[in-house]
Amino acid sequence: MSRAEGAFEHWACIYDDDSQFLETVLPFLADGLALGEPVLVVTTAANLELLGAALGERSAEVDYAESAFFGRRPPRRVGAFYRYWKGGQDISGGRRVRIVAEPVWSGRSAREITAWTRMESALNVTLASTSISMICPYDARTTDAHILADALRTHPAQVAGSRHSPSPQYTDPAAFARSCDARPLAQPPEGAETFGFDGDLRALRRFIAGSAGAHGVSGDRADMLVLAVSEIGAYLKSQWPASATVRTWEQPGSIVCDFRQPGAIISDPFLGLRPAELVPGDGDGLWLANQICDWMEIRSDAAGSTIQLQIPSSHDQEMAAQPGTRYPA
Amino acid sequence: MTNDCAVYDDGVLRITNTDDPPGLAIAGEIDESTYDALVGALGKVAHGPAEVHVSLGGVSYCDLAGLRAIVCATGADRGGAGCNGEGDTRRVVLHEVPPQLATVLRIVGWDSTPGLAVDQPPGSPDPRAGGQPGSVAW
Repeated sequence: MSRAEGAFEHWACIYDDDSQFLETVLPFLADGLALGEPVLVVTTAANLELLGAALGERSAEVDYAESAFFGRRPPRRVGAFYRYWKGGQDISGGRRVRIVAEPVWSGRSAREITAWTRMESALNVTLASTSISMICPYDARTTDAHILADALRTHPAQVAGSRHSPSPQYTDPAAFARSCDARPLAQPPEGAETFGFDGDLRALRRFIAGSAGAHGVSGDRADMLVLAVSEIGAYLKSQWPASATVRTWEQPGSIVCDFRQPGAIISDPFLGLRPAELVPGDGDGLWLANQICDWMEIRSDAAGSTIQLQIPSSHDQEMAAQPGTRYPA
Repeated sequence: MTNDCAVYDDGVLRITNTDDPPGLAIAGEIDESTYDALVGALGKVAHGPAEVHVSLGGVSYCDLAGLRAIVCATGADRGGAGCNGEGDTRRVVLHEVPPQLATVLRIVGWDSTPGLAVDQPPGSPDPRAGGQPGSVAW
């Protein structure tokens, strides 16, 4: 099956009221439907109602998701976009795919806001080969000014109504990502369980399984943590022969697993953010780990590199849930 | 199943040829240390019948690269650059897929690979039926 040529399109839409939201989003959706393109709307419950009423009968042709449930963490959101695009390609015979994607900002921690903003910027790289046209609405009534300012740095262009304009503030995604990574990672506490990883992946898996069990994590959740950790181990082993130090500890609500690889330099800020394909790509295992974990953060300096994973210690409903995106028939 | 015989067994991974249905039964751990043995066994059945059955019930661990090799037994990757060498496109039916591997297949989207079928035990829920319409949980 032929696929539409790449050229990912990514616009920010900063709106002040409902009518501005509709003036931009409705024509975007209508044009997509007229062209037979798969159309997905991920937004707030309020905006979903608004669009449903405005679209009338045509609303049945659009795929919907409420933002809070479409990829709870940024990497999963990227994964969900990517799967929607792939599925949409198969069903539409290779047409472009349109997505309206409004992130949730209220109630987020500073760390989370940085992660979501970093994702907005990284999409320009990690989805570059897809034929997705994406509008990201930002509600100026409820969104902090610094988040709105960053929207102009993370999107190459803006759209308001039918007016498209380049964003002069647009920042190179690699530079933007590095600025997001200034926050230091948590240091392992005294008493963290420690394992010297010398390349023996089975031993690493035994260590992390035991550690998970000691923190009350079992069953599917423990299996997924073992998988994520083993993929990190396999990646480090493939890149650097020196042994790494692995530490695990518990913090409220989550298990942290910290890899320290002396002498390793990880310079790609999008490592683990590019969707894995059937054709092998660099960092595929890190992509999977990033999908599994709530957090995967990488830091690199003169001493070496650190990869830190965090997985919930108590809730895994999202992991158990099934993706059910439907596509236009 | 008759005339089943191990084609590989290093104490970590055991791969058995099956006659009925034709294919492989895999048990143990699949990672970089056993990857070559897996690819070798898959390559042999890829020159056999047009439909191959792979039983994964005994797999206690499988990394992404191993899962990719199994999925690529369909030949679906050869529309791109290819990861399994030569061979025809075929139907690959996975049996007794451990829940973790089923989850990974969905995460990476390989569950919809052309030619791949996942045998669902009778009475198991349709993985695409759950949740709200249009929602994607992962």
